[in-house]
Amino acid sequence: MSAAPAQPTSAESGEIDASLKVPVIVLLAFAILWLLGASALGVIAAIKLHTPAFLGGCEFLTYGRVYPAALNALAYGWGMNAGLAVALWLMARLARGTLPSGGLLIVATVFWNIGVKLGVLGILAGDSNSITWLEMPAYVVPFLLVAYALIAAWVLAVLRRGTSPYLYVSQWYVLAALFWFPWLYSAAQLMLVFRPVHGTVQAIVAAWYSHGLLGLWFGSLGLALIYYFIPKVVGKPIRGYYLSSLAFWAYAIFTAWTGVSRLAGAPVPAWTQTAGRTASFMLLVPLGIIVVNLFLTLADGLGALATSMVLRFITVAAVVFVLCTVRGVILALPSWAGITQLTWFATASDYVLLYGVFSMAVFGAVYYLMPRLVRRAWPFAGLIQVHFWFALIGLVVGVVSLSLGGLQQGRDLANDKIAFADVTAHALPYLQAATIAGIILTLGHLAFAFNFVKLVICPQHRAASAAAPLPAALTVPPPELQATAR
Amino acid sequence: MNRAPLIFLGAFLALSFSWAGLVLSNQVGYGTLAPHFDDTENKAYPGQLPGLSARGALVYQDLGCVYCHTQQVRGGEPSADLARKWGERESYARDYLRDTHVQLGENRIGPDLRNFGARAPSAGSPAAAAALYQHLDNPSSVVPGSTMPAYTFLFTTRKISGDPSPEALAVPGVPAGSELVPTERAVTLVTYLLGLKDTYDYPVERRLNTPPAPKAEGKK
Amino acid sequence: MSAIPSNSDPRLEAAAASDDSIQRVHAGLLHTKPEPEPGGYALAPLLLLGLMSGLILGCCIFFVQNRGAFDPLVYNGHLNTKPGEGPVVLPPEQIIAKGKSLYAQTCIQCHMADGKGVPGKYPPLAGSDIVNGSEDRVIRILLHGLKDPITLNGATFTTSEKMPPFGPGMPGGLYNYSDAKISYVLSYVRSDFGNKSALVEESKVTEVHKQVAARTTSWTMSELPASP
Repeated sequence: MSAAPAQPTSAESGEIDASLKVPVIVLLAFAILWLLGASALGVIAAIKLHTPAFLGGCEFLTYGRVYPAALNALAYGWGMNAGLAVALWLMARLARGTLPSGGLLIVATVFWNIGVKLGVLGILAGDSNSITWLEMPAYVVPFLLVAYALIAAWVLAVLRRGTSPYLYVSQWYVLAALFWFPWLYSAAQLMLVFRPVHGTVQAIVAAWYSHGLLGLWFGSLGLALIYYFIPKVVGKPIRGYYLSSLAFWAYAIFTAWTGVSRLAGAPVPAWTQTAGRTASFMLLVPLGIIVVNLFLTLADGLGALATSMVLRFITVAAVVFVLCTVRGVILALPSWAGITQLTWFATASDYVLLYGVFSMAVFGAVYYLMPRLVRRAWPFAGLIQVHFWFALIGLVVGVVSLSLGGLQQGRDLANDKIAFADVTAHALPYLQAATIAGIILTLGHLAFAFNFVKLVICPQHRAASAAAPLPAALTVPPPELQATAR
Repeated sequence: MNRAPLIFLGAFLALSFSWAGLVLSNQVGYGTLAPHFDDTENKAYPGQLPGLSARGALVYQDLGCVYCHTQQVRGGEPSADLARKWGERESYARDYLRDTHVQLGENRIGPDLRNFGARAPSAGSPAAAAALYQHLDNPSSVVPGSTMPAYTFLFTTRKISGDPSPEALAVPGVPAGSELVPTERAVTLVTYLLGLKDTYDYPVERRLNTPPAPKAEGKK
Repeated sequence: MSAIPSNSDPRLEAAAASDDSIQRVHAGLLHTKPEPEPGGYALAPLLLLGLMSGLILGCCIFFVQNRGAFDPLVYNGHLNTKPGEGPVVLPPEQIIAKGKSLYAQTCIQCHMADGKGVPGKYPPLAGSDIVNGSEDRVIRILLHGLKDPITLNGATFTTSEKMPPFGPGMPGGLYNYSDAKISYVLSYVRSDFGNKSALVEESKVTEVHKQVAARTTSWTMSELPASP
């Protein structure tokens, strides 16, 4: 059935995009605000690591407070807002469903952000739980859970209203992630904060949650976007697509188990540590399939990388996902874990997944979806370039410096002839490099935010766009995807 | 479309599997581990944290000490924790029963603190507390090159009325007639830190975690 | 074949495939396995299956080797000791420390802090033939007590009391020490006060205890084995 082009006036999803416009823009606006806030807090924390006198004496900005505040602003401010925005858009697009009136959704978004704001301020004020990724004090948990439930319910509502009879692999990841987060979060809160379990079982719960949040929420959403945008931009179907469901289930089963591999050597049962390590190795199964799926498809359309900024962001996310999983395997090897545990090397792994996979994929998605929501082109093509290169360079410099610094730190710690003061001194150059990376990333975020603000609210840009005829990309429906053999 | 319930069910089972396997089984396995009663000494180990220390643990938590200091001593290759005298033995799960809030830590930007109370300079004497106050107030004056923040806000300058406080810090720059004294939070934190010690060796853990002695005969 | 759209302005990003077609094409592909090659089978899935089986096998071996006997109190994966295997052996300094604290709770009242006892009443432990002599004899005395008069190193000691029994199950016994505690306190008195005899192992106490389990009265000097 060769497709008669849909309504020629609305490119392909005019009605859907119009219904999503306000809620998605509100979610993204909050996300970008938090991204800037997290960048600022993160740079302060990074500077304090090598120059403790910087802003010294201010209780609210000591490292032990500003660092968790930055992490939480990044994960729950930027990550959750942006993740829900793209999940909503992706689900509506793929399910071919419009969003029912979004007023309640906006109220829920505002609630979520009040909760995160209270939480981050609570951390700075000293109410932190000091459990990585769960620092936000107990009093914001009800806010967050209720707001999340309301937002996630809208995504499901869009799916129900959708007319597409199919469920693409991206939708599997989104659906599962939507369900995993509240379970992980409420179980962890219950067992760590409200009714704490005894002894080092707490550490196991915390590791299970940390990796669940990173792998099952951020990782799944990143994969959903990558799986969507590669065929969307390259114009070729996913190679070996029949394997993608196996990859999904293997990823779903093993990812949460890998969390405890970060406890290798800690006073938790040996079999649990081993189970985590084994799961890290087993992740090679979905990884192999995902590599076949994504990179063989990408190889069909490498030319698009030259022109498409979206594809560049998405490709970086896909490459980092592979490296990140391989890194997890290496970290789980007994010979490596002894050196890399409890150093910057292990800590950096979390940032890689959150920033290199999830955030990069979201940046790409936002550059694609925003012009379609507001029906205007981005004001500055150059700023998109600036954002991409700054994000890439900042990511590489940051990860490489923290990894090398972590190896140095680990080797120093394993040698009792090296006094602790020297361990600190040897790490300083790497931490300074990481600060530079943080500043580069922040500059990229500023370019992104400026472009976003200009696109959404600048009246001049709006008027100029309205005067010119709508560009073809917004009016002509995209070509049909052709099924190719193999 | 009709596959969505299947995805939900599968996602539920996948996460249940990890939750039951990791969290539930360990909660059943050693979540109710009890302190070890030593009938020689007529005491249970680990003992409860004294009240002041328990409040200090909350200060430790709210200042976020855990982001730079681990509380776990690791044995075995290639760890040098024992050689660094960070503890007499590796940490066992039973050690953590006294902590309401277990803070193992993830990164050793600073040294491990699990046995800080056992190895603090002049441990056990009042001088240990004085040294620690000075360390918290100005870390680089005690450890040159330290990147630890100066917790000056844990100390307060006040007029001397009556006898000078025995806890006053001997630091330069305090105006005459005044003294720099630790606040209540500093006192509880220091009590907590100096109380951190896992010196008791549990017989069961020792037996289970000591590698069998290599057999003398039959060297390969 | 859809070429790269000419409208490739990064400010807009043209799509190369419509959402509908992405859904439809992939829904078809989901159940389309690769065509068998001329040999009659598809190589790629077989290769994948082989690699996966190998990985799963390797993971199982790794897990079994490092399972730590599934004991929650084992922290080193390569130690597969079963719970309850092997005796609890403390390092010597801890045995002595425990013995010392037991000594300070009870023995010290008669034998005094310096282990010299009270001349004529309570025999000394320092340099004592009995303490430093055969383990069998001194274990028996600790378990069941020793009646007066006591002769030691050529001197005689008499009081209104006797050396009390420390083992369990003796009529009038107050202490009910386990075999382990008896081994600790004996190890201590054999290595302090100038004594330099070997420590007493718990297993030795258990062995002697079994031999004399039926006994319900304290020993007299003449009943004890005379070996030094």
